[in-house]
Amino acid sequence: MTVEGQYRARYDQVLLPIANKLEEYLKDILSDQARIDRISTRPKSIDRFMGKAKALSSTGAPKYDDPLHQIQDQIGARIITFYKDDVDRVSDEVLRYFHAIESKHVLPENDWEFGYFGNHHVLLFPIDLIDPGFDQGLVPFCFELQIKTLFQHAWSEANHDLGYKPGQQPLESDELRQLAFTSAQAWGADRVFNELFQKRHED
Amino acid sequence: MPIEIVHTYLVHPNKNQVEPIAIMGSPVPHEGDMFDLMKSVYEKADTECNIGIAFKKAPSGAQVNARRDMLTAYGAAPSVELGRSLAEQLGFVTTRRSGLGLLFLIKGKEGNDHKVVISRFRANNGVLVNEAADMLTVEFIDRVFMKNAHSYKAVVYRHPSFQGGFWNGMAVDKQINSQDLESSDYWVKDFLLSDFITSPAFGTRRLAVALKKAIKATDDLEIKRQITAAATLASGLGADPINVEGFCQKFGFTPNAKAAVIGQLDRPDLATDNFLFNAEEFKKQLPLRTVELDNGAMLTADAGSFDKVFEHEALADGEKVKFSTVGAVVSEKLEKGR
Repeated sequence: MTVEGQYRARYDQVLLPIANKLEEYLKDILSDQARIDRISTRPKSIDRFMGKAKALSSTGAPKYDDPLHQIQDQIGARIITFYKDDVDRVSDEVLRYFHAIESKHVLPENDWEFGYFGNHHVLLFPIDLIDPGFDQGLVPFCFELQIKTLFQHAWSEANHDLGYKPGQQPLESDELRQLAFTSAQAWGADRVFNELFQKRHED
Repeated sequence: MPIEIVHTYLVHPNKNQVEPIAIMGSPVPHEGDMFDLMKSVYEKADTECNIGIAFKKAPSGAQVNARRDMLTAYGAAPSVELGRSLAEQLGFVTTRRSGLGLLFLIKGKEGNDHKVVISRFRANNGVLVNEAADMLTVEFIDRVFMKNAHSYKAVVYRHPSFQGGFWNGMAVDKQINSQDLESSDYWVKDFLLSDFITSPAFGTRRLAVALKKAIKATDDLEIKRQITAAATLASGLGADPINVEGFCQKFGFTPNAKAAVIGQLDRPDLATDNFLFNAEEFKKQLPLRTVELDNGAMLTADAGSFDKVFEHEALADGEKVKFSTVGAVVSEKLEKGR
């Protein structure tokens, strides 16, 4: 069976129900946490999975030689918070429940650059979320969780829509600068909101 | 034949030793009683190892773990040398108290899955007896390695990909429930650089939610009483290993009460999945509120509905409060005073 066929079977049989159960679980454990705008989960679409599976590294070689077992965001979860301080608080709370094999703040490589910002984790599925009736060979052992502010989320969604459409021409230099400008604005807005929140919270 | 290769190493207690003793290793031939024993360890690992563990991320948060790197390097191309790196690391965390051990690395293939079993037999003392026609000869030996019921340790990993998988496995550690932290941390935390997949908060929430659901689901007042009493007392438990079944036993649940609780789990095998009890999480999930008055009365209700259950008004003197509630008496109990 092709990689696409195998992923389709995985998508239909296990990814969707596991994603739904994960969302329910995350909503429950975070129900007492303030300033969470939304919690969502999704299985990676077949098109997006295949796009990633065929990706090439900078040397031109395939990035994944076993994509079904190497791509870790086949199930993705996202938590959107109001302010920057909320990201760390929610992150700490999630890590009380889930085992992380990776945790990082994704930032632009250079301090002079603006672009994508977000808090990412690769977390293991506790067996509670896995139906024992599933074909265990189809069940991924981990999922990716992104925790972002409203502004970080808004920027990354628009950036993805404008900059990563399959078949589109790459963005020109000035267009990239415009996207960096909007990221800087979102970064500034997050900073101002967070400072205002801290000030109001102290009062 | 699923077993591809077996290596064994004599692991000395080299922790904090200025001059650690070299670790010797060799392959185990695919024949004879010794191989039969290895086959049994390999096959039984799937059922004996019942504690979910996973490698820890690097302190920087990166998806890197030195022990996993050694495991996957060995699994991909098993050799005495690559296995020795794992054995040496075990030696570096082994104290004299944990003693000399015999480490086995067993690599096999099960369908699409690669499977690696790591197992440690602890050294014991023994007496070798030879029976002749008219006499016995006895000899003391201190290097008898046994699959000891009290100290046996093993872990099994299986996944189709060494690159993408082998982050989690199933372990058995007969000393894991020990109150002695040195013994309980030695295999999983110190050697395997791993942690339990079921975190204290996750496992405790699982238990508390099952108790909560069982109370709601049953009409049996005796079951409700047992669960309520246990839940009230449990907030005082320490951070010790426990599982749902063990909790029911600890608080003397009747078979019906135990079945009512276990029946609320997402899957029955979760009943024996161990975790460290977390009192904070338990209180978060089952938050009972108790008000104690200076006249000896104690009023208890679910914190969320306490103020609806008990109406209260401040009296004229400003110090006293009058509580009132109306309902039918459904149970009554005596408890030991504090």
